[in-house]
Amino acid sequence: MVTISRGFFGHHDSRAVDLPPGQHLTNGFPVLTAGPTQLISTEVWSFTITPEIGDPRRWSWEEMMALPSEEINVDIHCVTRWTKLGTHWRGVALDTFFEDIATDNEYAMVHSYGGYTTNLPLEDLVGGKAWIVYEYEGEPLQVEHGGPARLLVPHLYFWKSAKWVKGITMQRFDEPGFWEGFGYHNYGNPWREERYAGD
Amino acid sequence: MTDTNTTDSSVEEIRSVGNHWRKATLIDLHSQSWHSRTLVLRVPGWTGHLPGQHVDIRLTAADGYSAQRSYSLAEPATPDRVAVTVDLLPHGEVSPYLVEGMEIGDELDVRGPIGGWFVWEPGDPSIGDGPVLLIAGGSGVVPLVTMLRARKRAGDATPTMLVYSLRGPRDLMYGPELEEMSADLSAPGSAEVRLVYTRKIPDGHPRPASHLAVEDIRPPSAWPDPLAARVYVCGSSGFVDHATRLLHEVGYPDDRLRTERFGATGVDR
Amino acid sequence: MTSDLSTPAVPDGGTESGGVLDGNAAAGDFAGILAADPTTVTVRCGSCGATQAFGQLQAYLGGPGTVLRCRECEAMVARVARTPQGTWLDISGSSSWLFPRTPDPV
Repeated sequence: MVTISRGFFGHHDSRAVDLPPGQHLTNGFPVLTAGPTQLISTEVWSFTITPEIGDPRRWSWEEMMALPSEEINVDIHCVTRWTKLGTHWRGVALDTFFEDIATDNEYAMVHSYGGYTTNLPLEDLVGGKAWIVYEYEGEPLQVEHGGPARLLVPHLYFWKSAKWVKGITMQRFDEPGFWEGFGYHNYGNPWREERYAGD
Repeated sequence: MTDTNTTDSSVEEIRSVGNHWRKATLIDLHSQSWHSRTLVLRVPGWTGHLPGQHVDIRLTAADGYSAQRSYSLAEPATPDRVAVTVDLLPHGEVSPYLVEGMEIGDELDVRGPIGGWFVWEPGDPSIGDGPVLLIAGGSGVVPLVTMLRARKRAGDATPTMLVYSLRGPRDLMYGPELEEMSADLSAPGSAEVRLVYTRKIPDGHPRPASHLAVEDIRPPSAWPDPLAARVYVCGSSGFVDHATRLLHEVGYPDDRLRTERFGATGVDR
Repeated sequence: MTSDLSTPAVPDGGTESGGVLDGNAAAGDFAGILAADPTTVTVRCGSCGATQAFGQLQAYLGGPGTVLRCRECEAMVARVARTPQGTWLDISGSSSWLFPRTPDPV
């Protein structure tokens, strides 16, 4: 049984806009994490793609900054039911990183500094659908939001957009990541409300 | 078969304690400092709690949106009654409603009581004759004052001292009550109270403004045992770390210390 | 370690904001699972072997689930999530949980 608290509205915005089912608008940018904030300087940061055969391909911060970047203007949807409209990011499309990678594997596991993992099909990382981002609203990405760089996969629930991203390992078989193996949906499409395992 | 069922249901009842939401109605309000107030709620079926325990509070908007926080219980147990003291977090989502918005007769959900580790019940055999040292940072004073109130209500004579770190005079919670409690140390239920102002002191306060230091937590000379039998520390994570370092310096082993950290998670940045 | 999430379940107050709290704040989540009060349990970390009261563990709340980490080495010792299927509990990061004996009823 739920009691309605008169006069309580919360931080969400109840404007009538087209949101994924079960989502509420927020004007803030909630920060939540499953572990300690990772303090990774750009000197030591690197991003590695490990294919099933052949050597891993690694980019230093400077090498990533030399890649063509783009501005990304998207809405983001968190599985804990908030949606934030019109967020602006700058980063490098994963297509650019994958140009150098030969892989026949269909699945990817994303790894973060600190040990977090999340799994996606490769096809959701390429085709202009995912980026490594390092600026938010024109400023360097704050460490609380995953800086110096995080994954951005806005068409899926935001737990897929791993903070403090460190690398991607290609896999022949799909395996669940940190939340996917713990009651949450393997794919996480907000428009089909794929929150939980079995949805 | 019947026996098994009976056992199952009683286990289920035990498990449901603390994990079951109850409707609460605001029946009284009083301001504690310029940015905090105490809310007294009527909660039918609330059977009581121990000083130091907390409750989860859930607010739900008319459109179904809900937000949940924990707050320390601010009074010793009284049936059907729950009190919390809430400090305003200016950009918070829940505390502005509780401190500035909620009116008598408004409702919310509570669940609890929760926690049996950060508690002190007068007469606790593991504390014996004490003494007990309470160290508060900011609104971390709330569960510690609840312990002092319970001790006073029970007529418990365990030697007790509260060290309360706060920014300035306008942040002082429970000011008159703490003053009365520490005015005559020979009176029953009294406790030594040390106010540690970190930024600004009131006129005439003997200690200059500075962060909590070793001298502030040194036991009073009147204590029979130089170290307290038990130390409770409640405050922000940074405060608890700082106080724990000082306590180690004074010579307290970890097994004497019970700490509770509060803070905001999921805050907007 | 990731994802920006909402609906925190922790105290809303204090001068510092920071994700990490302690096991006391996570006790509400575990109270429905254990038959005993969780905060008095002594947990041994499966990674470094340090023992600590549940109430002392680092707690990360408000996300898809609640994550508890060792105060010494920050390894995850336990997590819990509630979904429509039920309550998910993972204690694989811990090597033991000691529930203190409660006094026999008189």
